[in-house]
Amino acid sequence: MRKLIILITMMLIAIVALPASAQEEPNTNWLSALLGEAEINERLYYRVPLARDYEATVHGNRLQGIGHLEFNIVDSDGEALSADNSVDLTVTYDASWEENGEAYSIFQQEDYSATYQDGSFYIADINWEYQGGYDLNLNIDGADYYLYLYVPPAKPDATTTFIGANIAIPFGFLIVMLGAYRVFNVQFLPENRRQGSQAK
Amino acid sequence: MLMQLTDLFEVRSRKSVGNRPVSSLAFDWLYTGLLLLFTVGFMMDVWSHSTFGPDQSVLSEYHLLFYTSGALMGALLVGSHFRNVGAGYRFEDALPQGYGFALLALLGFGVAGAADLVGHALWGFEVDNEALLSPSHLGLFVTWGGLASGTVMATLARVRRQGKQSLLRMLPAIIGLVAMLLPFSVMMLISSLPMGDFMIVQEARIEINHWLLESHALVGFYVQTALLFGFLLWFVRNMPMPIGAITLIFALYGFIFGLVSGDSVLLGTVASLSGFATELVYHAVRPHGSRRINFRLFGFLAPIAFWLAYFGYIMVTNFGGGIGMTEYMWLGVTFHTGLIGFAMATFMTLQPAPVLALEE
Repeated sequence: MRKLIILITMMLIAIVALPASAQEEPNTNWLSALLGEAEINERLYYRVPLARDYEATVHGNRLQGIGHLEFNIVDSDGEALSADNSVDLTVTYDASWEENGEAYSIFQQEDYSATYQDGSFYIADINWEYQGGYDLNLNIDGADYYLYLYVPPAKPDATTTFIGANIAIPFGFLIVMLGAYRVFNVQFLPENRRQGSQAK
Repeated sequence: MLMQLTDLFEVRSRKSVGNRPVSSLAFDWLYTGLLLLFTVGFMMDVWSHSTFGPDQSVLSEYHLLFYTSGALMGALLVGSHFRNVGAGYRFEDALPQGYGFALLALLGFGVAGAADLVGHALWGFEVDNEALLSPSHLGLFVTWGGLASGTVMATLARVRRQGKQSLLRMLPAIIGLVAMLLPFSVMMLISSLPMGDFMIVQEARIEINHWLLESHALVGFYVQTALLFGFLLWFVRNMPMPIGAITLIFALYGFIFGLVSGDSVLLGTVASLSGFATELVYHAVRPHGSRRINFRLFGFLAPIAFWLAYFGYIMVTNFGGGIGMTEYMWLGVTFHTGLIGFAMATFMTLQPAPVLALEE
C-alpha cells in the first residue's frame, strides 16, 4: 500500500509539473505541441431561419475576432447561386442587454464585398468582434438574401493551474480516500474473500 | 483464456456467478467518487462544446478530468483484481459483481477515446449534432453508460444478499444510475429536458414553422419518458427504494445535466419537484417485489406525476412565458407518457414464453 501511494504521488507530481515547465503562457495547447499540431478546420456555427426559402452552409476561421467567411447559397429548387464577380453586402451586429440593472447596446454595421470564386462566396478579414448573432444582407442578381450567423464566444485559455487541477483532483480523491481507509482501518476488499469454494 | 476473459467481463451468464465476491461499500465509494468526477468532467465538456464550439485540442481541461478519472477507475479495478487473485479468488471471479463488465466498458472507452483522437486529427472536430452522432463519440457514450453500471450492479448484488438498503448505502447505486442515464441523455440532447436552448417546451412557443417544431417538442416528451422511466422502472423493480431515493435520483440528474446549459440550479429544482411527485406515487402504489399490477400501475402513474409537476412549475412561475401549448396538448401528451410507462412496465413483467412453444 505504501509503495502504491508513493507511486501515485510521484505520478501526480510528474503530471502536474510537466505542463508547468513546458509552457510559459498558460493555454490548453501544451499537449498538442507534444503530439504535433493537427490542422483544424473550424467551422463557424450558423443558424438559418427556417422560414427562409434557401439554405446556406457557412464555414471559415475565426481568430481573435477577425477571420474570413466562405459560404454557399442554395435556393429552394436546390440550385446553387453564383455571381459573375463580387457581391456587395452589409453585415450588422445589433444587440442589447441588461447587466446589474444597467442597459447596454451595441450596433455595428459594416459593408463588405464578397468575391465569388470556385463555387463559393468569400469575404476576407471579416470582423467578428462580438459573440452572438450577425445579420448578413446581400443582393445577388437583383434578389435580396439574408443570412443569420451565430458566432460563439471565444473559449478563454485555461490556466496551467486549472489544467493541473483537473488531473490532480481525481488523484487527490483516491489518495485521500485510501489514506482515510488506512487510518480508520476500513477494509475495502470484498467482504467474503477466502469464504466458500471459490478460494484456492 | 478467452472463456476466462468473457467470464471476468460478465458478458455471458453463468450459474457460478455466486462465486464472485460481493463488493464492499468502501470499495463502491472509491469507484463512485471517481465516476462522479468522470461524469462532471464529461458534462462540462459537453457544455464547453455547446458554448464555445469545438476544442482545438482533444486533450482539453475537461477531457483531462474525465480521462484521468477513467484511467484511475481502470487502475483501481485492475489493481483490485490482482489483489483478489492473490487473496485466493479465481482469475475469472476476482472482481466483485458488476465491476467485471465495468472494466470491459472502461477498456472500450479507452479504445473509443483513441479512435476519437485519430478521427479529429484526420477529419477535424464534429460540429453541432455531429458531436452527438459521430462513431467515436457514440463509442464514448455507450461505454460511459457501461462503466457507470458497476456500482449499480454491485449494489443490486448486495440487496439480493442483505435485503433493503438505507439511503446512504444506496447512494453509490443512485449516482451510478444517474451516470448511466446521462450519456443516453446527451445522445438525445436534441430532445432533452434542460431549460436553456434545448428545452422541449420552448419549441412549442416558436411561431415559425409552428406545427413542425410543436411536433418535435411532443416527440421530446416521449423520448425523455422512455429514457428516464425505462431506467427508473428497471431500478425500482430490482431494488426496494428507501425514502428520498427517487427524489434524489432526479435532483442529481437535473443538477448534473444542467451543467450543459449552465442551468444546474433551475433544472435541479424542477427535476427535484418532478422527482418528488414520482416518489409520492411510488410510496402510494408500492410497486416492489412480485406485485406486478402495482408495478404496471406505477409505470402508468409515475410519468404522469413527473410531467404534471414539470408543467406545474412552468405554469406557476410562468417561466419562459408559460407552457405555450393548449390544455388538450399538454394534458394529452402527459397521458401519452403514462401509456409509454405502462407499456414498459408491462413488458418488464410479462411471463416468459414456454420453452416448448418457442422450440416449435
